[in-house]
Amino acid sequence: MAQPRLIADYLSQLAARLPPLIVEELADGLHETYLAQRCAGRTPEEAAQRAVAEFGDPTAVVAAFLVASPARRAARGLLVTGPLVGGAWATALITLDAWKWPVPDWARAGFAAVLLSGVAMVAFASFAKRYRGAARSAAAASLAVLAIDLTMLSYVNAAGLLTTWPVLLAAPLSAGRSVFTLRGLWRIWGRFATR
Amino acid sequence: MRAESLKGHLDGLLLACLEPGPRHGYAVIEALREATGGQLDLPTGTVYPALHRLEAARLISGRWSVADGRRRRSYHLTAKGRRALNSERADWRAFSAMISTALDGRLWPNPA
Repeated sequence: MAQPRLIADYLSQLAARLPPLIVEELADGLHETYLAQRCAGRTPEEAAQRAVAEFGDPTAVVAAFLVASPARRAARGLLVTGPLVGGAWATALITLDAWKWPVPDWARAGFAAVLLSGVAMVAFASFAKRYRGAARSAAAASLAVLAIDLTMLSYVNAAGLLTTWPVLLAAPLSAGRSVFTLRGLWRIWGRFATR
Repeated sequence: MRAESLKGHLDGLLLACLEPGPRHGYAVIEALREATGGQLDLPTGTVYPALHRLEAARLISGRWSVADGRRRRSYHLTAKGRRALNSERADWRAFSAMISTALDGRLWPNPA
């Protein structure tokens, strides 16, 4: 059955803002709604108008999906765990006189840049109004946080500091957050996978 | 009935719609309408995000199939979802009994 123009336009609006899999599911629901209206004896135009009206404002639909999105959950998770893990590492670095470690300035600057970008992207993804923007920021933030955690874990392991007391607290927190971050990344990617 | 009145109860209603067996999004909405005699008038498009939220919480599980040449996502209740539904039912019965008692001007029976 040919799809009325009104329904095609409505789906185009959603397709511009939501991942393909979500749009495919909504398209099926919208088509079913349209068929139900047709079965109730309405003309194709009336049925399409009623189906679109039943679905509601596309902006509200996108906003509801954004709230339930894996990107938003991942970002909020990083926002909550950030101060905890960051505080644990700050305690470890201060206790172990990290400023005396033989780390080149460019590496310190690079680490600080990744850290600050990660924080900014986490904040953006937590409050972004666009689904795709939130997903991109949450994915980038997750990669930055993963890089930070893995760098810290690798360094303290190579320096033989894993068994010192402040690191004993920070390292498991970082390892746990890495697992959480990887799961979040996997779910964000899953929303955009085509099959 | 307005959507705002449903806050906090939509999840339980959706889980109840899936209790008899797997349903796709539109069938869930139809079941919700039938179960409430058409009193519930939710924007259909906002029920789908709620289903995704329940799936993320592992209360329901989704699966793709093909129907009439279109891909369709159906959901079924998980064991965790069944437990959540039973808990929601028990909480609602206790809550509604308490409010009904208070609205009728009666006293809530003291367990002691």
